[in-house]
Amino acid sequence: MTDKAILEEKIMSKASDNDSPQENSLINIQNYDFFYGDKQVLFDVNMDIPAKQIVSFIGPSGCGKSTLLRNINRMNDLVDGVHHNGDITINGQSNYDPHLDVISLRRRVGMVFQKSNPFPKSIYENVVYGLRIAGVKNRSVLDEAVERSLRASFLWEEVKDRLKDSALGLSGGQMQRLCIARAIASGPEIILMDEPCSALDPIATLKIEELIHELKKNYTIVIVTHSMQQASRVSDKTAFFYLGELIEYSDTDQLFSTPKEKKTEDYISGRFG
Amino acid sequence: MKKNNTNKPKGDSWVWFTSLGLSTGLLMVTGILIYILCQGLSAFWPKDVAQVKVNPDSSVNINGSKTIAGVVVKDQIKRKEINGEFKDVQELQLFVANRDLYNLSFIYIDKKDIEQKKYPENLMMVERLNDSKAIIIPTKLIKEDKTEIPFEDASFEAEFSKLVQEAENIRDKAYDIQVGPISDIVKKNKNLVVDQYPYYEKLKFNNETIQYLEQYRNAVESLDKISIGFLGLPSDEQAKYPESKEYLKLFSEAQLKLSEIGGSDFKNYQEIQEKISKGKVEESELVKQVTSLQKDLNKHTLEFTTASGYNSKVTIGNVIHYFYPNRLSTGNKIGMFFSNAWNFLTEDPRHANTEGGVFPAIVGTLMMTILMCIFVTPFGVIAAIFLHEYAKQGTIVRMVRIAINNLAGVPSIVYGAFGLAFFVYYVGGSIDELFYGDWVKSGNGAMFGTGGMLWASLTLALLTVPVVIVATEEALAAVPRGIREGALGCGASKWQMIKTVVLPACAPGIITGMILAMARGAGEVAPLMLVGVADIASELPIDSAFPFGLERKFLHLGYNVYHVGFKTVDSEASQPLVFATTLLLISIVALLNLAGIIIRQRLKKRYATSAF
Repeated sequence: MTDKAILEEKIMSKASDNDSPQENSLINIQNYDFFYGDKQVLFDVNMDIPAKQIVSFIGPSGCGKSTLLRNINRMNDLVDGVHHNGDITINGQSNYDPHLDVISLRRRVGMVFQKSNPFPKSIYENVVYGLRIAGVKNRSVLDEAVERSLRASFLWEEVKDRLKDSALGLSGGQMQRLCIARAIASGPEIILMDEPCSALDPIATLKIEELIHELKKNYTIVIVTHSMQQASRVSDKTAFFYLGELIEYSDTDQLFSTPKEKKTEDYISGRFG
Repeated sequence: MKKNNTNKPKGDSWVWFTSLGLSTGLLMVTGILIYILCQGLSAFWPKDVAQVKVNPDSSVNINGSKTIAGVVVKDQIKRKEINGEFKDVQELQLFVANRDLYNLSFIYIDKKDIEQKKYPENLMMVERLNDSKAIIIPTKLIKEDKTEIPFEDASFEAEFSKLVQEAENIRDKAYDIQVGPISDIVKKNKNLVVDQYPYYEKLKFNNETIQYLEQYRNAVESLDKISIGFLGLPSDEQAKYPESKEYLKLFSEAQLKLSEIGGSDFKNYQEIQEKISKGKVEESELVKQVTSLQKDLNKHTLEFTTASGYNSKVTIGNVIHYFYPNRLSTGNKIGMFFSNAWNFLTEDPRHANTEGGVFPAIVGTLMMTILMCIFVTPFGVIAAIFLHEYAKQGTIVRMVRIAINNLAGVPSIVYGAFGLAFFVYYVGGSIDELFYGDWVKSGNGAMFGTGGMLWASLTLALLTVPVVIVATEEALAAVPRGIREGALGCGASKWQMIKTVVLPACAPGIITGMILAMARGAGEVAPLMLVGVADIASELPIDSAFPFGLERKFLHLGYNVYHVGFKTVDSEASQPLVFATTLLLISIVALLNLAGIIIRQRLKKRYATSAF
């Protein structure tokens, strides 16, 4: 299996994480419409997400930001009756290319969910889950991946003595960091985060934010958040969505200090939403 | 806090109504359980035997005798018509045993007719091998050499118990020969006959060979009638039977002709025939050993009389257990209670299942239930996975689901009929035709084309599969969406997701389905009557060699309850046994369920999904 070979190689040579070319645009979204059945939830979205940057999606509930995020790794395929117009490309390859293997796409685009969802397995097994299902059996590769991912998610020092314990014994913040470790273990390029801190207390949130900041060195991160403070703290660029439309998309500082659109200004100043 | 009745919310009286429903249900369940427990356990408790003298004016008697000994089974009030008037009469029901002598097991006596009631210590309760229980007063022991030991003699007790023990050893020895070497030889001979059959078919190519084969086989049969396995005997033995000459002549004539025509086929046929005859000789030697052992069993006899004045005797070999009910102290009774219970669990049934233990039925019930679980669980789980995970949810799936739920309501006898038609006749018949053709045609009877363990457990698996499907589907639906997405987000395919995350998470639910299936299947009797249960089974449905005894008929506790309780001549006398069997069946089902619950608890701990 070629996928497996690529994965093994990637994990053993840490260098490979750093030497991917600095492209201007990694994810490219063009004229993207999206429908749940008859209901259109995204209207003509156009945006470029640059590599090794953190982009946050903000906007009121139901504005379509999570939907867009979940289309980047095609998680919305699981919902019945969805269809779309336009295209999303990653590194120039279309997400809707009929030859594209959705499974390998999801391996390249990791995801962290709103509710932490560790599997009812040991901490170790949680982290190596993606590798195991890709067919990696080599013990040293797995051990290496566990340590690297857990270190990267600042969890190593806390759990290194109880890797064989159930992941369900961890605290909420630790569980979410474990989910991040799980997402980065199989060496993705992009990590999607769907409101990763919404169920966490402020201290745990702070830790996750530090972690996100650290991960920026190696990964492109797209984060959906309800907290404008969080968006302004962690992200390089921010996109504001309203009723399925991308209203404004620019550098975070600019968007929060001098928004171009009236709607953006109303939203960030708390006049609605 | 202050009580304030005026603030009591309206409609709270319904709480009482719901609790009434629950308590009525609980009361009925515990009631029936306690009843079965008492009745079942009392079957093992040795009871005193009363000797009653009845008023000469009363019509009650046993063949004219007014003295009756028996165990008081019931003390009840009955409404009776006396001289045109209805009156409540206190009456006793006595279990008098000795059915072979009295032709009845129970007798009813009005309490007022009883002149005298005592508990003589010389009454002996005997459990016999080939008859029902007996309540006797021993008179004397007559040994092989005609020496007599009267009951009053001090040495009687020691001598009698020694002889009974000896008889048991002899019975064991005979039993060992029967189930060991004899059944081995019988099996070997059956296989030889099967091996021989193809040559027989090959040889039947024209009328002449058919005629000579007939002659050959008839001669063998007739010679076997003279002495079993005649052709396998040494020639000097054969010479002892002058009447065999005529058949031997026919035999040799046919043999000569056939070897001319048949060539190598006949040579093979002949060789196997020789082996069969030798096997028969071996078998008859062993049978002779058993017969002589059994003769030993009848060497000594016990003469006795009964309270009602019958004189009779019983051979020692016929006595299985005996005791003096009225001599037992409470401690002795407790001891006997446990030994009776133990015997019930470990002994084979006797006297058409109405006496003795239920060991084969326990094995049959357990095997069938476990096999059923092995069949039903994977089948149900796979069906549920497809239905819930892969099938496109729509009208058809909804209808399939309704159909599955309805299947659970189909009368079980219908499943029995289906099992008989499909599994036994069609599948079993086809297997017999394809793989056991020679076996069936050579006169050994059907192998798989008859009811047996395999078909019974498959039929019950079919009966219980809706339960497993429904339970598994519920468990699948309860797996949180989060962990499914988590798995897919890590790049798992749908099947990988189901295998690695979903199935472990719903394992406890699957086990619940299995427990429900087990509870339903273990108590089911009606379909078994058609697809595999036996009244009397000689062999346990377990074997070390293929097909592992799965083709055999078996005994089942539930069927035992029906058969012994309602279909035997003297079902009332075996009532305690029926209660004990019921209790055992309930306990086995409860134990199996308990095992299931423990496994489920473990799985729950291991695969508990996160609190979120």
